[in-house]
Amino acid sequence: MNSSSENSIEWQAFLYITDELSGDEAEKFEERLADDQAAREAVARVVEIEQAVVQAAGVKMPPVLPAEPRQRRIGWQSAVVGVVLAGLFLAMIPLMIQLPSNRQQQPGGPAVAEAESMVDQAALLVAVWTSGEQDTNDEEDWFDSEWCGPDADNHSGYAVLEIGVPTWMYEAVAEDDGIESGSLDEGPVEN
Amino acid sequence: MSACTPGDECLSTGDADRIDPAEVEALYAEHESQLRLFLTGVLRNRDLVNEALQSTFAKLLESGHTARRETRKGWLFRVAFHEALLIRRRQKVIDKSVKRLANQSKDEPDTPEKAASRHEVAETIRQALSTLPEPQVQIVQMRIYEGKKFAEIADELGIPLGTVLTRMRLALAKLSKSIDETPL
Repeated sequence: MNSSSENSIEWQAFLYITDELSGDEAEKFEERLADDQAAREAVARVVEIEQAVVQAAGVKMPPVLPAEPRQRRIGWQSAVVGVVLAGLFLAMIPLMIQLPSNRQQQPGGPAVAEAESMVDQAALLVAVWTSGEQDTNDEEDWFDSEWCGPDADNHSGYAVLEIGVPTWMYEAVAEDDGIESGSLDEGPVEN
Repeated sequence: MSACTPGDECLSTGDADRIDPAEVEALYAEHESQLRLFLTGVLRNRDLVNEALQSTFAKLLESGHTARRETRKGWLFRVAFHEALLIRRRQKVIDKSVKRLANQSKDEPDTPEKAASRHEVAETIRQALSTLPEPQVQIVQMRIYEGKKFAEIADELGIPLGTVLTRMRLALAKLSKSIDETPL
């Protein structure tokens, strides 16, 4: 059998297995298959080629022209994503410029500023506690001036008398505590 | 069915009562792959192919002794084709989808030797495809990978059907030749 007729059988077999033959042609080819071993082997051959082509695609797809529309679609999507990303990047630039300048104004950021504020308050408290009675008197002065009026300066400790606490009440308290009356005499009772 | 028809493929039934099972095994090892490919082309369904193959070798056990040893390959193919036609008539199911055909071939469990051979053929075909002119590759792609009919391909590409057929035929001839030239 020459090469041309082999090709012809293979071609017929390929058309047969890919269902490209008409009903009559397929029937005719099957009649041939009943008797012709070369035709049978041609069928086996083209099935092997077809399977190998499919398997070869699994190994590595050959370069294909119809992929062009897909590439075009992917290119359009990529363009949209690219524009959005570029926009986001441009929007971020002013923020990125502002951040370092804010950091220069307030080194360490808001958290550091808050921490420094707390340290200042703590230092103030320590200063208050370590400054002695003078500061306490200041507070009392503030209390007196605020609540006891301008006359409170004279005897701040006994200003209560001026709000009507009777003398006997002080005496009774002094007796209960075992305080000598003399000590009370030094107090504002005499006033 | 009488597997032996009048002609040179038959022996007289008096030669032996049954074929030697070891010989059946050897014939299976030698021709199973090609028979399976042939039956796949006819039936295009893995289950039906397996059924036809099983029936063929059952027939070989029953009446293989009636065929002359040197014509047993032809005898096997003829019986296989007959079994395939019987099954097809009975089933009335023919799946001619090329994609399904391809998937079925992937599902078949291969021995390491068969897998290696299949891979080698695939690699040969891949190399042959890379040497084909692009218009031919395009037709192969659309016909085999995408399962399009030649008429559809012609419509889609806006070229005559005859051109499509010619390109496919040339591509097929080159792919076939590449397998011939590959020492397997």
